[in-house]
Amino acid sequence: MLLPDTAVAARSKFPLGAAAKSSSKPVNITMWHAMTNANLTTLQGLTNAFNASQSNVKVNLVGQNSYTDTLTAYTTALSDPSKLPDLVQWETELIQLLIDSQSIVSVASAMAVDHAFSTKDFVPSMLNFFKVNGTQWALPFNISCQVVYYNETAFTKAGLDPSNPPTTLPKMHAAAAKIVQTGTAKYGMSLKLDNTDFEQWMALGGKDLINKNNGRTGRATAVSFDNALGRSIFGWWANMLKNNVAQSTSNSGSATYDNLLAIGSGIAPMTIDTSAALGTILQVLGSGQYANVKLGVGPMPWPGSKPSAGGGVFVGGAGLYIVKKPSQASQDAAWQFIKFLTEPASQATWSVGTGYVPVRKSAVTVPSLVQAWTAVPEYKVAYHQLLTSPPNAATAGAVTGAANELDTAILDGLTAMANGTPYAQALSQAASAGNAALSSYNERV
Amino acid sequence: MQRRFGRRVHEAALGYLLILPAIGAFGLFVFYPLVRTAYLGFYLAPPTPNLPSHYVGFHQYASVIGSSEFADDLGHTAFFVLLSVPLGIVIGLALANLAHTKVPGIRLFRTIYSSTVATSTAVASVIFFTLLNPQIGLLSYVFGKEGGNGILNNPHWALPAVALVTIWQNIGFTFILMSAALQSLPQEVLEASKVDGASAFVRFRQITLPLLSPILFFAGIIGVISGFQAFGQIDLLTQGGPNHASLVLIYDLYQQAFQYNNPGFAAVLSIALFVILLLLTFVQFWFFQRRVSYAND
Repeated sequence: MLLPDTAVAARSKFPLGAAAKSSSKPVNITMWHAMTNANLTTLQGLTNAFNASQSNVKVNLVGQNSYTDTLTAYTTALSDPSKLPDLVQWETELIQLLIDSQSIVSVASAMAVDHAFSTKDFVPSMLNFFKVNGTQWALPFNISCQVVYYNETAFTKAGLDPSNPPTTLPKMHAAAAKIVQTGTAKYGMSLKLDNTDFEQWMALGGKDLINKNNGRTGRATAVSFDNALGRSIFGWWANMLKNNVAQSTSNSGSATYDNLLAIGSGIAPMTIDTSAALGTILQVLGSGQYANVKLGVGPMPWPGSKPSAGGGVFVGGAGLYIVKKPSQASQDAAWQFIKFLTEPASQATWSVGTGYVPVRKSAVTVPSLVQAWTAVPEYKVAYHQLLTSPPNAATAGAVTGAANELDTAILDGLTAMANGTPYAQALSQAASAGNAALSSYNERV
Repeated sequence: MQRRFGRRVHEAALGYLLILPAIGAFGLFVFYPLVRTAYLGFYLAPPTPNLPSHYVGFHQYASVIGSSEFADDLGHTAFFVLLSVPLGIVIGLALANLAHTKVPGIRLFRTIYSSTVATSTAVASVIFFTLLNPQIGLLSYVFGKEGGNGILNNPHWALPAVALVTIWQNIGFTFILMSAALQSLPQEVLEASKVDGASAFVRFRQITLPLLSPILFFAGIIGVISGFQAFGQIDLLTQGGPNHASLVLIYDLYQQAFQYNNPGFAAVLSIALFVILLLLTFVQFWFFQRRVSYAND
């Protein structure tokens, strides 16, 4: 039962300005996040800048190391609400679980009273993901999407145009076949066994993954990917493997980099992976270890032979949520920090330091970002993809509290198909497992 | 008479007092959680603990235990235990027997054979994960399965591969057990049989093995119990995949509790595992009790 946010707003207005009026300043708040390495350094830099720029709020970062660990820590803290943070960075696909926990305050309620704040400058597809049942629950923060990585040198060797990666799945098959035929590499590409790409292709094809408008106008009760589009994606995948023009790589543990390593080792010069990996990839290539690789980045190909109407990618990454704490000052403080982190200047700094795409359109005019993108134009591919993704239910992405189980259901279907099960059967298998997952979750909530 | 009775009560009271701390610890850390877990299975767990849960009585127990998913879990667990435990004991015993000689430098071999007991499950799993990597793994090439999906992603070979890691780990433990047992065998019985003209094989089968039977029985029970609870190697190597081929009971339990936020379901699996292990232990005791012969019988 989704609580309509208007009812909540009617009961209590968001305490805007409570931090500035607080009797004990600065208001200390805690933010739980999952950033590590360079991302952590950049986040810490932004936080220090925020803390230094004003005296009302002091943010204390607490790293949980991964989205999975954040989930575990947060669910445990729900039994003892005094342990909850004031602000949490939460993985995109688990949004419904957080809404169902009834422990967050929607940013919509803050925006309803904060008339100075506008979402016009946000990239629509990024904002859209966090809107469920008409309510904007969170603001996007660190956003990425899937892109095609390929070796331009290998493309040239195979007689393919290195500046024009395949833009449709049929063209991708043809390119992979050519790479194998010309003896350029053992396989044309690596296909990582992961549910993400399948879900992205459903969105690119303009179709919902689950019913009730991808779970956004009501709690989803069944999957809707066992249709012509789903079958064509699975069929394409099965053909790529059957014709030996693509190899499967694993997503478990350290093997999750096998598809990228295969580009470097020359086994398969093309693959699909997250744009968030671009920074690390460039770092590795910069070490000179893979001199034969000239990196090319392209957008996700369309599932059909031409672009689908209303189709586009949906976001990966995480958003920022205000946690419902008893202190009004801390709720307001969390909102102030969220606004700061999503400002164009902050987003430019964030994007330059991490490789995530900026969530603000005007961030691309900030000099530091302009400079970074001129030096490495590959960063623009993911941003452009998300910018041009038309806002609708399909491109908003699926939301369900049973997201983890649904992912496993799709992955199991793909694994079965990769191990020889006829693709239509594998897809039906995934669909029935997905339906079971959704109904089991709905029973419990 | 009264004095004797009073002393008995006094001794009994002292006995109970002495075991009270242990009972207390067991009660707090074993019995109470067990009862609470059984109780947890009566509720459909909400996705987050702060929400209300729905009481369903035995319905959840019935639906989980009657499901084909549970039957599959049991099948995989049984297959895994049947693969890893006997082989671990046999290989450990064979190596212990071979190393039970007075050849110079045998200490080195004994150290090597028992060294696997010093590796943690995580370390062993990571090593084998690399060895089984389809692109660069040595074992992939040895088994002729390089490139492509790899052994760990093959639905037929994933579970045997995980069992292989477990066997490798168990060898050290069973080797140490068997070595100690071999060294404690009464030498006069073996010498007597040698004088009687028994061959090495006959000596081993008719004398050594029966005398080792208590240790073999012990290793078997420990092996089965830890086999049913094997988690680390599955989490690091296959995560229950591909497509549930290596999904054993304890891993399903972990997924339900921590990935799908369904502690009610996990509680049912937990109680089921407890009952199964309890039954298996009884069966083992009853079945092997007659065959185990102790040296002073």
